[in-house]
Amino acid sequence: MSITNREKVELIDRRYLEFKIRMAELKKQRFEAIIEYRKAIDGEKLRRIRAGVYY
Amino acid sequence: MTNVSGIPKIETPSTPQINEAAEITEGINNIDERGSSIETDGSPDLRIEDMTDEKVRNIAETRKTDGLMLAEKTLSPMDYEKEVLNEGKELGVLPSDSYYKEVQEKIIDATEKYIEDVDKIQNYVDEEISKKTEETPEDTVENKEIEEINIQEEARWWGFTDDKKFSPETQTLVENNPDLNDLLKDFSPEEQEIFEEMYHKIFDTLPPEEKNRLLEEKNIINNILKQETEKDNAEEFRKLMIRLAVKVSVKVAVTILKNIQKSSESKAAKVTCGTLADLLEAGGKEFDKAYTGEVNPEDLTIALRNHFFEKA
Repeated sequence: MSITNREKVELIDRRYLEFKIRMAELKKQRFEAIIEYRKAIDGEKLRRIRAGVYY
Repeated sequence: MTNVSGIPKIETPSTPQINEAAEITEGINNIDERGSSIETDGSPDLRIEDMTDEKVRNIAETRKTDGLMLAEKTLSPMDYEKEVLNEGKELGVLPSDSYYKEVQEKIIDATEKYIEDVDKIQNYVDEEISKKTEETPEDTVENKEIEEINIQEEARWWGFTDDKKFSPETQTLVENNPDLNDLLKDFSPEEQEIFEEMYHKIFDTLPPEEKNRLLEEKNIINNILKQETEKDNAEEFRKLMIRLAVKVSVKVAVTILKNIQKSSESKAAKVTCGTLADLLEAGGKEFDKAYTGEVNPEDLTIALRNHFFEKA
């Protein structure tokens, strides 16, 4: 089945839009993971302070 | 960082950091509602339908480049992330797999899939362009006959046999697994130039994972490309491509061949490179398995024989 040039360009654009959204989602996931990592670091700091080894 | 009471302050992202995070949604918000690459002047339908195949192909190429740039940007750590990573390193707290490994892999996978999909559309357009070229009225019966003879002659020069099968030497070559240097040393300067140009041209557009894989081979290939010889040897070029597929990546070898197929003015070169690319693609999965160690050399030899000699 042949598709027109308009459909081809729309297909390319739609796929690019999907990709862009996917990248945004992944960046969001990564940012959320950084926040979790940040919490782990602060937890470790807190543990060291309580143990008297953090300054 | 600690506050007055000695309890560590939970560092929430600062305004610039939040702004940086806001880039996450910026892409979505900035996209044209139609998400279109098409410039309109009030009569969009007419302009779109009049768009040439070449223009469609260029749009696909641009979108591919845009996608790779976006992926690279997404893979690069944000400023806030760099700070956190440094602090974690100093304290000896390692990031979780979900942070680095999983998300990075998802980004690479999504990029590869995207490029693959755009390639499919490009290939479709190329096929249509090719069909239209073949149907041009100048292709008289006489011209076609002359052209066919030239193609056969040139195809033989390129190292293909008349029935498009690989020679016994190639089979021996793959089975004996010779060093890559031996395959490349007989390149003519012209062949070296083609290969080097194509190699660099595609290298910049490959996904990061593929780049890393290639970098491992880069020194070997570059050293070989420096060697000069006056000997024209198309057979060696063909062997190189097979060797490259085994040693480095099927995708790279196929991309090189397809680039030559598109850019070459020689129809025979187009035909032979196209045929070789098809054959490599057919056997591609087996090559990749061999590269990653999923199959042993004996199984690979059998697979190659099946793909290149019995099915060719």
